Amino acid sequence: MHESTYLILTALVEAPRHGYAVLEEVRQISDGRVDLRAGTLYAALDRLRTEGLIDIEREEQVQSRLRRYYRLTASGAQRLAEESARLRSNADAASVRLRRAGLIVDGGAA
Amino acid sequence: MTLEHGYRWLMACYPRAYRRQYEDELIGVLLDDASPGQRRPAARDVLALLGGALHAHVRQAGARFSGNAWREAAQALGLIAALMLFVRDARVPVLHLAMFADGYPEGLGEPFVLWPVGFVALLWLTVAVSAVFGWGRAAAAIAVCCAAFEVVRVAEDYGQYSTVRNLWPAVLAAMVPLVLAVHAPRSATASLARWRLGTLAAATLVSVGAPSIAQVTGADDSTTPVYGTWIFTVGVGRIEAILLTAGYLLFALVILSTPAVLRRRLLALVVPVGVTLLLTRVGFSSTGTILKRPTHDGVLAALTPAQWLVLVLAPTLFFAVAVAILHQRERSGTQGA
Repeated sequence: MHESTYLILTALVEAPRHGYAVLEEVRQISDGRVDLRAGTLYAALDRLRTEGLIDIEREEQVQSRLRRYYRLTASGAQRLAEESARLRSNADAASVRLRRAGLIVDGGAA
Repeated sequence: MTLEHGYRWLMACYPRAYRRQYEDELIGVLLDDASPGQRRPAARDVLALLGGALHAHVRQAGARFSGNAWREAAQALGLIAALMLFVRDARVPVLHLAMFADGYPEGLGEPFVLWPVGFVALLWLTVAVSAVFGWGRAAAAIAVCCAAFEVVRVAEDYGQYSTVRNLWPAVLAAMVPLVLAVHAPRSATASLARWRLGTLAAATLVSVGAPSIAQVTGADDSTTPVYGTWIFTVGVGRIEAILLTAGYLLFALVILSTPAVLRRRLLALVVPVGVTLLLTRVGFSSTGTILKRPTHDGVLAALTPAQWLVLVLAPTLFFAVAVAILHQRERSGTQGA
């Protein structure tokens, strides 16, 4: 799973969010490292909707602008959990090997 | 031009259906995300929007081509194309064998007609038979080898004589493994029905046997060879030309008699081959009407980069146009119904 996809799904875990809120949440989760643009976000949202990982929760008009709120579906939550487990397993394996090789000490570089 | 107009102008690059779904919402997010006082779309947003538009077009095309009608058309084309390529490669080997049988001890006197050309012809026949039985993946795997041979053959022709006259079979051959690898709900046999399969068999027999029939019966002994840019009748006897034409008309009949949904897709799929055929036979010849190629001591000059570009882009472009027209017509037909 692409990092931006992973972060978009993560941004939707706690509550349904509209597009701009997802952009802000992704920046916050990644400490500003991932700065999604709206064009990229909506390409991902469209794909995730087609795959059934997210869905539209509701629509509203704010200052004459359409806002759609997206929510994580059950299969989206399951995919995110699976991907998180995979990343955690890879990260653990990398940490163990780095520590064994003496290249890091307690999580930092040696 | 306001910032919103700039974004709306960029949104025009997206497919219409996508715009209907997301335009207002996406522009709202872009405006929310804009810096205070920003008057033009940021470069990163422009790139993201153009990338998103390309992505949306590719996804839309992928969704269209993943429909069952396209899949069945792909399988049917795989079968028809394999038979046509079998015909093209088997004609001379069959003539060689017919001359043996007719009392010419050396046949055509050129053993290469049996190897490798005759062998590749047999492989094309195997591809066709596999497609008939619905073994698409096996047929595609064998077709890869045959297509590689056809591409190498046309490359050799170009290396020796700077000719791309026989590029169309290579294009058709390259399409065969691709279309046969597509998984379809029904095999080519089921899509085409029995009588069309019978017509295909007749077309194949007539076309493969044309030179042999003319030779063995001596029917062309008193006729003058037919020359011209017409694709199947360059320097062959009149009877052979008639038989070949009859064979290829039968192939055309099979395609044209299929149900409209299948027929439109089959015709769209053969557009790249047809455009290549026209370009290489008419457009790029020494008397070419589109992009004339000069000759030096009777030998054609190599293609220029512009001509190569036309040769690559034109078939793709015309195919895209054919598909767009097809979907447009079907959409308007559905809406009108």
